[in-house]
Amino acid sequence: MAQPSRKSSAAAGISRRGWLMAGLAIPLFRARAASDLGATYDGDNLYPVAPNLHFLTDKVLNRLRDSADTQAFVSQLTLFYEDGGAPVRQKRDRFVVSYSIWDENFTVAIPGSAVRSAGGLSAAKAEAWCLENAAISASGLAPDKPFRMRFELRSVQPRDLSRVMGDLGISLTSMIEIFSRKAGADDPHWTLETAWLRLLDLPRLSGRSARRE
Amino acid sequence: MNYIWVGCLLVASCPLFAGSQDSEFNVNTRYTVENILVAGAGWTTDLVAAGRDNHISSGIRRDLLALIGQKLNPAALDDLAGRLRKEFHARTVDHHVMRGKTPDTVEVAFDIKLRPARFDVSVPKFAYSSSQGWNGAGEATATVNHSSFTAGLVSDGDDLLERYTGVEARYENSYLGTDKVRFKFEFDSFHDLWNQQTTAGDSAAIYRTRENFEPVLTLAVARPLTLSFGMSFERMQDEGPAARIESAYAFIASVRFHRRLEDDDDLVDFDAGYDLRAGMRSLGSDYAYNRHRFEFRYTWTRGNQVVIDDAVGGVITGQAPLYDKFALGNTNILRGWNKYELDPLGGNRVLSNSVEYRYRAFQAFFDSGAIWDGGEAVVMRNSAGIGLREGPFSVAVAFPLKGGRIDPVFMVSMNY
Repeated sequence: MAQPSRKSSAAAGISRRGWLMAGLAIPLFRARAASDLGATYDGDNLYPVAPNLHFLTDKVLNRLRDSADTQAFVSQLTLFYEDGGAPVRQKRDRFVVSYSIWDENFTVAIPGSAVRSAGGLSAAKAEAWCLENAAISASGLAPDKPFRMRFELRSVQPRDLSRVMGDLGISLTSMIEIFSRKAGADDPHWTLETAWLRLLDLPRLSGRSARRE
Repeated sequence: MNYIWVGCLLVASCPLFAGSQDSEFNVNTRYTVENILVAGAGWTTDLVAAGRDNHISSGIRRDLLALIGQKLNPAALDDLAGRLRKEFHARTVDHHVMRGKTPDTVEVAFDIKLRPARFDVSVPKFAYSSSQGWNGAGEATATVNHSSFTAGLVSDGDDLLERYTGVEARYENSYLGTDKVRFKFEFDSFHDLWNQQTTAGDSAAIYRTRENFEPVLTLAVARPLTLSFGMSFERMQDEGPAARIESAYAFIASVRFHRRLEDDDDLVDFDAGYDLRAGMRSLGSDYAYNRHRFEFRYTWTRGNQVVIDDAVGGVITGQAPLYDKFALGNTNILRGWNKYELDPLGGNRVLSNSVEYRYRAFQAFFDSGAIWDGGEAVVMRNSAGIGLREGPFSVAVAFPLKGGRIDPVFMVSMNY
């Protein structure tokens, strides 16, 4: 029985070894994505740089176009001196993205006491604006001490909890359905990490501020 | 104290059901709504072009029309989608926003998707009262087109003089040739527990189990008026050593009237109902009686303020089984009083009125009521209370107004 199977695989041009390599390659692509984070430094703040990170996907865009609603993302930027060690510094931000159905461009805002926002952006510029505004203060970091930076981003789906209150009172079926959704299935998330860095080695950018309006 | 925390958690969780809070950062809120379309199974309503429309209720239609000419408000769209879903018992109601015919305007389309078959497990009601303990029900419902089959468990010591615990099963058809005719058949089987005061009052009247078969036909005579009639075949097994079976076979009928009046600022709802249960020996019943119950409810809403007046009256002639006797002093009527202190065997006459004021989640109420048997003196009792209410959830403290000590009763309830 094994012989015909090998023949059919060979005929298709994919060997067992090929399947094995392909299987191994899938996690490697994730690892490659994880090393795609860089950093820039303006003397005060560290900025994550991830030109290959695209979180305004077609799915997000279609939803924004179709509903004319907003999409929220939550980011967390962490600095740490040791792998697996306690964070040296951490900063969380929340970005609200909307898409103008007449102008066909993005507006991004960071809610809070001092709202920051930018409008008329392409998808790439909107993504870059979010990363730029996720900057973290570098004050107090030793210039020659190696550190790593991790950038985590997660889209926040509006949980449709109104469905829980059905016509028959509290719908346990809807409640189970909502709370049993696999994490990440509807809330895509990205985690990127830099190699070991030192402030000394980072090129200094001038005239840049994380507090742009 | 634990129950207070349960209540606080329930009320605190209610904002979770609210819509998105990010609307102020939405670039599309600068556009004006030009038109709204609502599409259901085989029909589409264009709110600008259409005159009168029978698919959507007047309240939702009014609120949809109010959005036209206004800036786009996604939170309002979410709210209306939820109301449409509830009104049509739909699986989902999606809304799509498209460019309007003129620049900087948008058109909104609601898409109602019904589900031909569904299965749902729900908790239709629950209540906790510090004087009468926990009550609740759980149900599983399978719906295929217009037919639904429901099976559930219930334990309720609030409504009646007895605590009935057991199973409920029913079949409902909401479309018998027309949506104006509905049919329901219900079967209940309960085990009954009794308060000591009731047992001491009349041990011969109590029963250990109760079964009910109840077919009912409902006619929607006109939009605000429905008429229901059917039969109730109840069989009770006595508590005594002989465990004798007693029957209470009754003709049942009810009339419901609902009328809504609305203008720019005010919304007024009138609800009136009359129920009749007539136990007849000609049907083979051991109990011959007539039970008449009237209910009138007036609700006035202006902005965040709501005023409700709820009046109930009832008369029983003949000898009714205990489950059909009137009781006052539960989580609904004359809150704060203990029904077993007022009348452990129930009354043949009842009269009650409740006035309630709500402002946002806050509620304050004043209940009055009397329960008595024919020929007895009528004694009015009053209670007052405050609480928090969000949708069907309520947390309240009620104080019976009587001489001597203050004896507050804490209540948490949903759909009671």
